Amino acid sequence: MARLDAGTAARLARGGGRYLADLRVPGCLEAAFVRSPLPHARVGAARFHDGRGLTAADLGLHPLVATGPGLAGAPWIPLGGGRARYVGEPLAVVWAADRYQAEDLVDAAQLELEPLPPDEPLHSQAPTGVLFETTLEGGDVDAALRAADLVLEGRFHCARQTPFPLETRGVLAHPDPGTGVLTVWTSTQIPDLVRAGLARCLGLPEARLRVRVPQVGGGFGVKAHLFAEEVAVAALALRLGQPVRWIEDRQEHLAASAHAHDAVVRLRVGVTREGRILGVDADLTADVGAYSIWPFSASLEPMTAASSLFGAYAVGALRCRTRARSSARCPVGAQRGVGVTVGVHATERMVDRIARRLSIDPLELRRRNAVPACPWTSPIGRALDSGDYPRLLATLAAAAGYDALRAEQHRARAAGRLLGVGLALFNEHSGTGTQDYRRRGIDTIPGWDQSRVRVPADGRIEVATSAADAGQGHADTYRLLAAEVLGVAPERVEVVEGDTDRCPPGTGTFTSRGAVGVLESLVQALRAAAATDLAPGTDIVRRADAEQVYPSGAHLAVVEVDPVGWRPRVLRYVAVEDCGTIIHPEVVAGQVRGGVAMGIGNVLLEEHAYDADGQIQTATLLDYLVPLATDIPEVELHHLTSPSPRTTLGSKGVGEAGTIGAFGAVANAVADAVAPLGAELDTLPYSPQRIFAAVERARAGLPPARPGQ
Amino acid sequence: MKPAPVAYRRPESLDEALADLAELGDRARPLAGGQSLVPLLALRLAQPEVLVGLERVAELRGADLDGDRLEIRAMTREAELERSAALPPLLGAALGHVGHFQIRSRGTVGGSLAHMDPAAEWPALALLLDATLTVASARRGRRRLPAASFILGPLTTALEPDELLEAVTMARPDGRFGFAEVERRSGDFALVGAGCHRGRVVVFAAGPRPQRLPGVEAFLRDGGAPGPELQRRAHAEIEARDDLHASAAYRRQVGARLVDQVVAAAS
Repeated sequence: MARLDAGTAARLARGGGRYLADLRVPGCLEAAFVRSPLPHARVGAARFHDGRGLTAADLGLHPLVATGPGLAGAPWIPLGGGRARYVGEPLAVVWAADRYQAEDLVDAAQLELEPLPPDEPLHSQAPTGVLFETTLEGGDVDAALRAADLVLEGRFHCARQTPFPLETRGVLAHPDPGTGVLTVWTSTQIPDLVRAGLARCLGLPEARLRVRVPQVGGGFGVKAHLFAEEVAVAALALRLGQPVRWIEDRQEHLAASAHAHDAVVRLRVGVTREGRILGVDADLTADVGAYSIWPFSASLEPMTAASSLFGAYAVGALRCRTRARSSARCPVGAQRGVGVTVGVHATERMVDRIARRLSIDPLELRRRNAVPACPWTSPIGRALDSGDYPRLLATLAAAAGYDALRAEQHRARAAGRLLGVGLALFNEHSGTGTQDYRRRGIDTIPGWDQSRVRVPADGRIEVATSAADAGQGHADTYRLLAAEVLGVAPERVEVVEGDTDRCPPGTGTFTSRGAVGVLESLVQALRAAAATDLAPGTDIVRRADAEQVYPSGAHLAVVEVDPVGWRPRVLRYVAVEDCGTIIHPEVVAGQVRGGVAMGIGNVLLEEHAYDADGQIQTATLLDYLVPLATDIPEVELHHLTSPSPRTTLGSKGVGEAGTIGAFGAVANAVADAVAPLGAELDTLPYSPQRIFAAVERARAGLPPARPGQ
Repeated sequence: MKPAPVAYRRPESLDEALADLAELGDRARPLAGGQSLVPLLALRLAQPEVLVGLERVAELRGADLDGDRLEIRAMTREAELERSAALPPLLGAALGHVGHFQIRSRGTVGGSLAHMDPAAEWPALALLLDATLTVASARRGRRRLPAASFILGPLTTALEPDELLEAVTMARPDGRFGFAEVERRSGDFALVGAGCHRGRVVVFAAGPRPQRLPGVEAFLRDGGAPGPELQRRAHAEIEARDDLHASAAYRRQVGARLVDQVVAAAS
């Protein structure tokens, strides 16, 4: 395949991108939001300067409910519907000629708020606060634990975090009084789902809405939801008959977009003296904040996390009781890797703990337990399509020089240095299709994807998909693929995404769909087109409903902890990826590097905090710490290729792997660095403060700390 | 994150600037490099009626680093100091910890001192080097304050609303020194930091303001040396606070270890 023209990346790096905030629409008003200063309150009368402000009731917005097995059926309510459920929740929209004046109107707005007691349920549908609950179980867990020589226990906590794309959210709604169509430009990963959700919230037929996606400066999951601001700006534009836009600022993004994780995993693992893992009994609680987020619902984080526990290991029996609890905090949604990061963090920390307890090298313990060969079906029914886990470990050990690293570590420790080596072996499910969503009880997401190949009269070849590029480079990837399959010059091919008028409907861009279902539909459409003479008028649509596929990987990190100030630094990072057939090597490498950088930030730095009064403490970049270039080492990247039998080209996706691997490898490396001091780390992020506290507890002979202590 | 309406004046001389402040009092805020005040304006945590921009006040620019006594005028940008060959190594070592180069390109010495973030380097340096701060007002003329009297607490100095910090002067810091801090990322405010020079020992970012450690200084005068006893004394003496990023216990432990390091480096 031809090499990607470096022009795209260079243009973006030099500020040549055209994002939502760069759209110029004459007469466009600027919206801003009156946000709740209280975690839980009843919203009474509202007064706005000059009458320029509207609440949910004024706009007549309808809530959305994600239903399905295990879900309490609590609604997602744009602008709160008369109730505030977290600090920062948008409760009313105001508008002005520019953002400065709009924020003056926010300051002038008077909203009567009657504080509600903290123990008052946020949703009447969930009086105990449990928004979702289920149990995954396969094999005889109790028998496995009875048969074990040793049952080890652990408790692992992933922090509350934000995906943090460089481009924040934004929406511009533009009514056309002539056609009655409202065009909603929005920085989203899911244009079709946004249209469906908007139509229901606004009480309009979908045909009256056109959703368009400009260039997007990163999504990482956070832009795969419908947001109250999108609904409110669309409703306001219709009400005023004028274009209106809202560009999220960083404070709004940190406090009130969507958070992720905040999950506690408790594990009981039965092992033999030789280190064979026989069974796993797990309990997982995710704090999902104020709402069952739409479209993924409150099941997203706990289900994904629970189903990914010990996913790369041949464990005979596994049970996980899992639940989502509400809290008066920002709702939890998707973040790169979703709950797989939570599951892999708990799993990989536990595997290292078992290795230490049994005095078996962590690499050797992984060899003894890795899934031996694929296909492989886990006790909870994950059908691994492809992959070679023993070879992943062997490749990693050779690439990293594992034995030499351990020897170096031995010398460093003798010299008083805190040097750690951490491993991760993992897989993830990607390209989730219709059946997978229905099995999980999620009925809000179609699961299938589509592509269309069209030849207009001017002879161009237009390739349109149901995905929406968020910066991954779909246009380049798909253009080159189309040129290759059709045997035409790449310049003749135009890739169109993110326009509900021009693209066939589908599911959007998340869980690496762009390399699975979307790609599959594109390959089918291209092959059908190649069988024609590509005459003007050619118009071929193909739909694919992917089966889940399982990319896998093995990562290694070397971390040194400063023995004075307890600051951890990643010195080296080695990643072995198996994403199946590689469609575009540079895109894959970029995804892994960026994913690892994000994972390092997630493991070492990023954490949202709320105080006892429910106020968010981390709404600026002074307090919410994201990784800087100086925190990220070069990522040494190696590939194994086990093509998936479930996709035509054999690709499996690689959007999340870098992040997921880092949750195991970096966490284990920090823990390994301070293990000689007896410190036990189990709560992310592994900050200087947490390392200090763990070392102090070990010195005092106390058990590991619990969050809140 | 857009500031509330605010008027902007841009005086051309020190007298004009002081006259503006005399007229406006606490309705005005002087704007130096803007690295702290502008974010506070954007968050609407600061809402002055008038900003008095000091950009064009020539009397506030420049530094004399050549003699035995250094004078750094308030609007001198940190990056200008960094580029000076005459900059004493101790100031260079500390400046390397001030934000990122973009911040140092705009940030001023006087702005940092007048803002008095407890974790900032300049207040700690002023205390460590026993600096004198020259403060001017239209009504009362000039007064000179030792750093210890100028620094009152977090975001609080002895400056009256109609006063401007004009310059900071200090004896040239020669000879051996130690300066160290722990930060979560390069360029962040310190979790805790310490400096030592000519028998003076200062800890900063631990408590509400930079703090001299007289007990540790006395221990050193009596022939004490780095080691467990010095750390124990420092630990007992450091005033520390909890915040989101570190506990008081962390700051005392790590602060005491940094004191040990900087004392060793300075001796």
